[in-house]
Amino acid sequence: MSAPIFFLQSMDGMGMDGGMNMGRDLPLVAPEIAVLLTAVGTLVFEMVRLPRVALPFTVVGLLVATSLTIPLVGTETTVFMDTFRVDALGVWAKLILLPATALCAVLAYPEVKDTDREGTVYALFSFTAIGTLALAGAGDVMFLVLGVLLSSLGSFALVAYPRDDRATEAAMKYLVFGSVTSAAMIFGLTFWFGASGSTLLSELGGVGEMPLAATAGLVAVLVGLGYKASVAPFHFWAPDAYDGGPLAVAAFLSVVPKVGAILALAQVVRFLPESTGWPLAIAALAALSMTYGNFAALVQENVVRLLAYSSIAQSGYFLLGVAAFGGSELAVSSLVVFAAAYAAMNIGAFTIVAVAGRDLRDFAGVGRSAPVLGAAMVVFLVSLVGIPPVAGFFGKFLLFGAAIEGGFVWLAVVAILNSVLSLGVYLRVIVPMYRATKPRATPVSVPAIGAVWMIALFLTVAIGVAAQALIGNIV
Amino acid sequence: MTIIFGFLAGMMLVSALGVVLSRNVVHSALFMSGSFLAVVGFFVMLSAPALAAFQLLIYVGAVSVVILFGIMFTQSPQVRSFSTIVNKQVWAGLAVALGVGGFLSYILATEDWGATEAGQGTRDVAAFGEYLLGVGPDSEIFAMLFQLVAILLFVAVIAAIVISRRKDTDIESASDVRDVGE
Repeated sequence: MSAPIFFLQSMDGMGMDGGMNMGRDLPLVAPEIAVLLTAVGTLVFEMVRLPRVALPFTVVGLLVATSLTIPLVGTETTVFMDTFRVDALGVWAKLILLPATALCAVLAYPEVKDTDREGTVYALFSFTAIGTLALAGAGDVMFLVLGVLLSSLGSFALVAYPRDDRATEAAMKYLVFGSVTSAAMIFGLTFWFGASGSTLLSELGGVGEMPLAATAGLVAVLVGLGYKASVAPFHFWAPDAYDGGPLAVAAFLSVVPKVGAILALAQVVRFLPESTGWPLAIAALAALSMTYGNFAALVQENVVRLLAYSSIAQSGYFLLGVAAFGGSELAVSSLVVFAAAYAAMNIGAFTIVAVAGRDLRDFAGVGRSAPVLGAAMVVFLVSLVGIPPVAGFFGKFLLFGAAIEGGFVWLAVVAILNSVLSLGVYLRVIVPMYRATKPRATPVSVPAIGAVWMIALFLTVAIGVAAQALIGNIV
Repeated sequence: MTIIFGFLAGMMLVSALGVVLSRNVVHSALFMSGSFLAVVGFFVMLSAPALAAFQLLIYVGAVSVVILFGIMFTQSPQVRSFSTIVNKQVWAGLAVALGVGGFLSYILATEDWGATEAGQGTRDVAAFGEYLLGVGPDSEIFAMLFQLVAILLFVAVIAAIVISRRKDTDIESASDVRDVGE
């Protein structure tokens, strides 16, 4: 028996696909390679003392990687012997998250320019994005582990970047919490490995015969990916990390690793037998996350923390699509559309906070002193609630449809009640904006930030308008 | 085999206790790498060289280094050691540890693991090395994973550099020193 170690079953399965080789696989991961080259190139520009070039290089590199992804739309295959999936979830994750990463890098520019190691920040954005893409296309539990670790390591450093006490404390909380949850995840995953004899997700069907081991593995995955997606009750790090680090990092953490982890969870449950009880477990987490996130957001005085709790609630909505994965045709397209909408509206909302200020009182009168900016914030928040015709509505509409089709009518009802509750949360920001008080200072966007929220605004509206066309193209 | 297992298990338990009982955070971190090393030994004994290699590279290597960097650059020396390890969370911590340990042991004891074929493969390290690089026929299974591990280690180094760099306010005063240094 010369075939090494423990992937014996999968090796046998490989024969069906015929000649698997590097020549076929590498073009299919070209976007990931482009992101990696972007990250390394950015570091090189930093090294040769050209930090001015680092940001344009990062943005162009990420957009090139995005355009390399476009020909892959519609592909349904696996590469590197089933370990990595190039499918609707993985491909759309690239199309959504890479431009989102580029927007966050631009958003970071005013905060980090002329600091030491400015280029490293942009490189860390790209590296973290690679970890996230590894999660979204995971076909093997090792990708889950490496994806979580890779995106966490980059994120710790990004949160800690300002090096003041608040950022350091936030990063340490994040580091400790992340280390414990990912260690728990790895340990629990060994039970799946023991039960199925393979680390491949596509072999997970075998764990059904060992219900206890399957449960241990499921709990482990929910802890590890739930932490990455800041799903309640694994969310404790999120408000501190968002508020402690630069705002661009908060926008990034609330979108890119979160969407990656949610999609990774979908990749896992695609193969997991329903006898493990995953649909109910995920539905319960969804209900808890939505309800807790919205109630906690209701009492925040700091807009960053408010958005942090609101993003915990949004994770709950995402989980609707994951819970319905076994029983609904809509699940994949609902996850993709909501991910696109969420990326645009959440980055937009954080960008406005970067202009107006972190305190709720900073928003008083903003709608009168800066009408366009105020209107943009209203659009982002209305989209986060899910009111038509903007992007968030179509995303949520599909998620609710998927949940109902998957047999989770009660969950859809909880989600709708939560949407009403979330209106109360976002009105706490909107109402003071149009109250006739004298604003503290008229918020002015520097050009880079202005471009970011205008692009986010355009996308939030455009995704809403184009949602119908988008749905047709996903599956 | 039993002797080796006993040694590794003892090393793991002693290191784990060291992590919890040590009053010095740096010592705790070093004990933790000892415990990680014992896990590497287990994986080697179980004929799982891939897990052993990843455990060694990522945990003993990257994670320990980042945690040590994190400790060294976020705390001033005087608060690095604590006078006591007992605080008001000790009972809660003990309960959680015993609960998790008990649950996992129960699963281990009750499930029938005999049917699983995992780890029955070769112990040939040379062949495994080729698989890691994806050079043999039908051997790309680890190729992308191995590259990801490489990126992970690289990012760990960058993260350590970013966390441990001088504060920006210190830079002006030290800029000429830095120029000479680089």
